[in-house]
Amino acid sequence: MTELLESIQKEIEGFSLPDKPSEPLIKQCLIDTHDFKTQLKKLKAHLNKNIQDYDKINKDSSTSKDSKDIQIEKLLKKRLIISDKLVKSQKQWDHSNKKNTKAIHQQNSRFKKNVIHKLYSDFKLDDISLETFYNINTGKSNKKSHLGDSSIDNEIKNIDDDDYSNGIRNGNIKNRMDLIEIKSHVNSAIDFHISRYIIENLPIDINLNDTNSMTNYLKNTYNIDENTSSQFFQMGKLIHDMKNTNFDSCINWAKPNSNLHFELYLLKFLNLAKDSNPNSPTPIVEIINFLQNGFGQDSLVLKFNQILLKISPLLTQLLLNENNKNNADLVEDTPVEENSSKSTYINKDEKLMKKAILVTNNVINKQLQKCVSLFTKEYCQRNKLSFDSPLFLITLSGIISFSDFIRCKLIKSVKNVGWSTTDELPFNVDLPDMLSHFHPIFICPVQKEETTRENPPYSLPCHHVICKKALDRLTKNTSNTTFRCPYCPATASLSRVQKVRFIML
Amino acid sequence: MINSKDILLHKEPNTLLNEPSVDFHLILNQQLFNIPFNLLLKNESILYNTLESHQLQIKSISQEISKLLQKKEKLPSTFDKQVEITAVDKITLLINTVDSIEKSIKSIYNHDLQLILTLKKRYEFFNNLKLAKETRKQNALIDWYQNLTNLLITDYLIRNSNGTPTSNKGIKFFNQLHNDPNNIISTHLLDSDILITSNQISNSLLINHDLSLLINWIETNSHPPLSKSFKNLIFQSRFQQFIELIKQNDISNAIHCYQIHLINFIDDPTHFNNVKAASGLLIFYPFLKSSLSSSNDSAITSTTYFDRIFHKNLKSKSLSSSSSSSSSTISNFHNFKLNNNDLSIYKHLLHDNRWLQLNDFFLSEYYSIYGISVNDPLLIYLSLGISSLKTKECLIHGSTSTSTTPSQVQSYINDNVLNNKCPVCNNDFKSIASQLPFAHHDNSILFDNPIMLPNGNIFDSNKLTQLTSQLKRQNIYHLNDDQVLDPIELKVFNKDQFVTMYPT
Ligand SMILES: [Zn+2]
Ligand SMILES: [Zn+2]
Repeated sequence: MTELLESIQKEIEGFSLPDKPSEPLIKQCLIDTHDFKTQLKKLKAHLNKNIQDYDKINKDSSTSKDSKDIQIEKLLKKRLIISDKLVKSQKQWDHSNKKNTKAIHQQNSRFKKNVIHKLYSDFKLDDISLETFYNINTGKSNKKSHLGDSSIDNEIKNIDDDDYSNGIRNGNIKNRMDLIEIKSHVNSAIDFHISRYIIENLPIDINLNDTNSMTNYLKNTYNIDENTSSQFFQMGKLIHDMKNTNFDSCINWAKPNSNLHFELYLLKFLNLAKDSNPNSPTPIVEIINFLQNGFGQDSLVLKFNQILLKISPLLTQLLLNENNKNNADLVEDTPVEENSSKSTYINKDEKLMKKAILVTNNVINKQLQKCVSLFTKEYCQRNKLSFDSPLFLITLSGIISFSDFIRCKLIKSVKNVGWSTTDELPFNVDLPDMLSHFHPIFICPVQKEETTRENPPYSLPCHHVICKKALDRLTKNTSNTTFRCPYCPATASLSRVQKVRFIML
Repeated sequence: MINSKDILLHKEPNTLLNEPSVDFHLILNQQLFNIPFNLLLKNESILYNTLESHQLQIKSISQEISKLLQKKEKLPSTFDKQVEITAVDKITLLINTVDSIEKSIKSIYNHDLQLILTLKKRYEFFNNLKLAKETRKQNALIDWYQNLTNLLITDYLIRNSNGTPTSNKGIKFFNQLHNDPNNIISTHLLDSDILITSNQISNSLLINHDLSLLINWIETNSHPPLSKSFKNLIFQSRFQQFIELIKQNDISNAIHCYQIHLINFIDDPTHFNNVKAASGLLIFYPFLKSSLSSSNDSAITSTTYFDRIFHKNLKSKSLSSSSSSSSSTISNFHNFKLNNNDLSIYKHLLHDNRWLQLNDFFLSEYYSIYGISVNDPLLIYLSLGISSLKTKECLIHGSTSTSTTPSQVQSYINDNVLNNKCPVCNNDFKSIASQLPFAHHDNSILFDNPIMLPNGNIFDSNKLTQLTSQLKRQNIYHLNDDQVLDPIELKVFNKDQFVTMYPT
């Protein structure tokens, strides 16, 4: 749904002059006022001219009185013209001010009506409040919805009469302490998050080979404990190396034969093959030397197909280009997208090949990004760190679930639905795969509830699974120990029932 | 036209992450548009006042000049150049006035330009979400949410900072993340000034017990007509000022404060008792001083989680009117009557908690003026996120094998297989999570091809086979082709022992 987004776009456009999209409406006011000032200056010049002319007429003794009178008469007429023009431009300025301020006011009203009112009419973040969830009283009232400027905008203010008293109902130190404790955990999660994501962007004066330098920086800038920050030092250094075309440190770090290892190898090859300096390009011999030795014999064999697919065509083109070095003017700097360059080297049209620059920065950057991402994943995996910070994953889940909470609240206020449990959310939140496969969840098809340690799942001989509660109910009234599976015609006996455990790998 | 029920009740179909619609996000971030718009409104009124205040003057000067010039001179001989000279003087005055108006407009213009740019950037931010959704690029969408999360973190850090604005961790973080030390991106997506101002005032109240910043803010922002809550904020801060003066034994200034400020509220029924209490305090303070001790804080009556969501408004209303509510200081406070001889009631006035209360009054007023969420948005999302992620297996799963010298296979499995990446089980969130309810699931979330081993452990058959081949390839564990290793019990089983399960 993007109706609101569209009206925001439209109304933001309305803040600019229709014929000058980069100029706000007030520009017209500025233009008109400037014009008025220019006009006044002109009139002032005319007045000064009158004075000068008068003096000239008086000084000039050669002209007759009659001729002087005629000239002075002209000056008098000019006075009247100046007077008229002054009044006219003053009125004009007055008029345009009214017009301009009206236009601004109208646009502001439109924005308020079409954007602000709509943004504030349905729900807001505070509708689902903190106290609700942490069982604490923060003492902050959540009912107000003030819009617009408080002095201009009284008509839409909606203040609850009781609000003045709500603010004072906190003051419970115990609850405050809860909030302080919660915040200390959150702060520690934020420190992890900052360490995880900032490490690639440390200022250049930080020496990445010196862990003290990094520790101190993160300690002094963000007050992050060394225990947290140091987990990412090596990651930061290796990414930094990669970005500075030193791939060997990361190649050494990567497991031989791994995907990361191969992509780094490819990245290094691309970088060698790139004609960044046309005057002294990497000699082909050196590139071939790297291709043969830089990867290890085993890997060459193992990745045979990928090499054939990704490296050989480029190498072919490289050799062809070498051949055409003499026709340097034929080679043009035409940036080629990754995809099209792939098709280019397969293309038999020699002319096209010559035109295409071999390896563009774009291709290298994409490969670099790929390597950084693969490496980061691998690094986090190896060091038992989450690739996405837990804070991010939880926040994302919170944002995704927000609409469910709001919807639930809305339904609840419409219908009076009673919820049976207070320990479990009364609704299902559909989280995407990336957020829902941390633990296996088994809902017993009989009891319709999630199995727990206390109520574990059991497998029946027919391999249907039900929870302990359901099993107890099924066997409660049977004198003998056999019972019917609720899902198939098979009969089961308690002795052949097995407690099971789901394990997510 | 936007139908709010559409946004609320129907989730957009076919979204990548089951994420809310763009419009839903816009509503959750309403202040991003409200704040710059309010500043535009302010500019509108500055412009209006600038023009209004000079328009008449300019008109009358123009007319004077015009009259002067129109004076009928009968004969050319009576021409008096003094008319021109006077007119030039006056028109110079006019030009200077118009020039200063032009300068004022120019500065409003520059500000408007900035604000509209900010609005455009904010629009673009959400338009990027729209594009990521439309092109169905999961990476772009994740990146967008990363940015949003970083904004929320920044907002949280600014709100909760104890330091000076320049040392604010949030701003440093946000700028560094975007490789922009010059504070450009943050101003486009963050109203950091507004949060920093409230943070400074709040810190001066809570840490230094200093009212000057608050009173200064109140004075520059009290544009009539004042809302009831704003009046209350004025009263409470002046009342606190009065109390502090009494505490410092500065009776004459206390009396002054009473006569200048508190007296204005004597006709207000909501503050009448407090004003009376204030005069009482003048007399009783010496007696109270000796018996001052921190009062016992009663725990809040425990209400269940869902009572709190769904009856919240009801509760808070009844709280202020019913005298039976015994849970918090407020009820005592409001039931206070001067004829109640219990001096201990005065202790509430002298208690340091009043600073917390005053801070809450201030923040709720401040945030509502700008249309910002009173609660830290990050904490709201975190609490919802934890609950929607928390499974019955969370928090108990924790420790894997604790053997001090794990075998190679054990450590491989601990690191690569059983490494619990659940964010709720993460150390930082464990204790918060323990207070929050579990997620509700209508359906099982398991894995493909579940198979059971004879010991009752159920795995994804492919994943178990993959693990086995990894262990073999890396020479960590020797297994035959038809064997698998149960990573939980470290027992070897034959593949023909697999039992296909039908859990649902
Ligand atoms: Zn069955
Ligand atoms: Zn968990």
